[in-house]
Amino acid sequence: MMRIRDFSDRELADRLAQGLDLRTGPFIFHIQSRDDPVFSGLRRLYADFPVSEAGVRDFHISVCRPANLRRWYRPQVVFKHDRESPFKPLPANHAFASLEWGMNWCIAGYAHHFLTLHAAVLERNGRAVMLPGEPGAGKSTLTAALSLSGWRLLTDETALVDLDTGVLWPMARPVNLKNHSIDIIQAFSSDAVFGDKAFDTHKGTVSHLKPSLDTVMRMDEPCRIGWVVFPRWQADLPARLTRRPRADTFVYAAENSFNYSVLGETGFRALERLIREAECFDFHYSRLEDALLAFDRLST
Amino acid sequence: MMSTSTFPETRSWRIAPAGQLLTAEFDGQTVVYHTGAGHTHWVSPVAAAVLNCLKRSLHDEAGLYESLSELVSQEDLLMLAESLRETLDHLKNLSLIEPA
Repeated sequence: MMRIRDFSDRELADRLAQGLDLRTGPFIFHIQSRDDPVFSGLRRLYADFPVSEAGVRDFHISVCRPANLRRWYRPQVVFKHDRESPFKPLPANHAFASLEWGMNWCIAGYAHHFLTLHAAVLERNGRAVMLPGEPGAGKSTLTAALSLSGWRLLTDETALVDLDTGVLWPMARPVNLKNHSIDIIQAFSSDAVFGDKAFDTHKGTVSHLKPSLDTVMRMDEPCRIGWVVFPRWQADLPARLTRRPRADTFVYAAENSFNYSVLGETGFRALERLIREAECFDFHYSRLEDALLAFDRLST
Repeated sequence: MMSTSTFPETRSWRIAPAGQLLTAEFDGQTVVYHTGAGHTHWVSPVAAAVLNCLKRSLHDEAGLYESLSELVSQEDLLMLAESLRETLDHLKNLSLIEPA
């Protein structure tokens, strides 16, 4: 099996121009692009990911320059899925971020053979912790820190719940960090490998953290839920886990699912099984080190 | 036991027919989802009991009161009539039930 790192720069650029079949967990993305940020983002952050030769694809996507004057004047890129553009063009230096957002959009909109929830998922000692959370609650920062501290990353954005078995499936894709979180994680670990920063996006400055080799090599290994933890960063608070009612957790998860209503009873029963298996907590923290200790205790 | 005159209108209620009512109980607390209305709610114990009754069959208010009165203590019985009215209004507003 070929991985991105097995290709020379020339081969990778040629493959991307023709269409590269990147496998990330249960999905194969046929990615086409001639843009440097896409090339360098895949080269650096997806180096360990397998390239499928099976010829079967879940999504056909591209990130390309629009065929107009904007090719030269303040160049832009446009993400396309099945040759349609669901988003407005973005500045050219947002090309890799656009690819990542587009991949998320494909999964949220079409992967209805899973129950998809807006949450990060990590695993340790065979049990998964799911981290939902409002934007700005510190979910991605905590996810990145945990993934650099012995927890296996399954996803930082979209939890994939198996409709038949209830297990959580990995995607192992890079963690999307924003603004100050990028500096925090860079300071937190010298092992952190980041892609180029995209400035002035609608989310501010964004950069992606490369998943560990272990995360990628185990992308076919699902995991049962252990805990649902709602993180919230708050200055000067000691790290503290407090029980949260399962019923409340269920309602929050349902409201933050991408396809719960589409799935109807199947989605309801899948979520019921997931929440029944999980212990549910609210979690306040101010220092990452304290948060990691609290999660260590949870997992042992 | 309260007489049906407490509910002079003696309206009958049913689960909203344009969908299916699904329920799940966690640690004594109930979550409901109506596939027609498309929303999920964490409901009170009285609401859960009302929905359970209506899932079995159409009930009028006096019948609901009678069924629920078997589930509450003598002290809570005094509050049940008012609580039942509020609950029925609330569930109607959520499009989970409707007058039959």
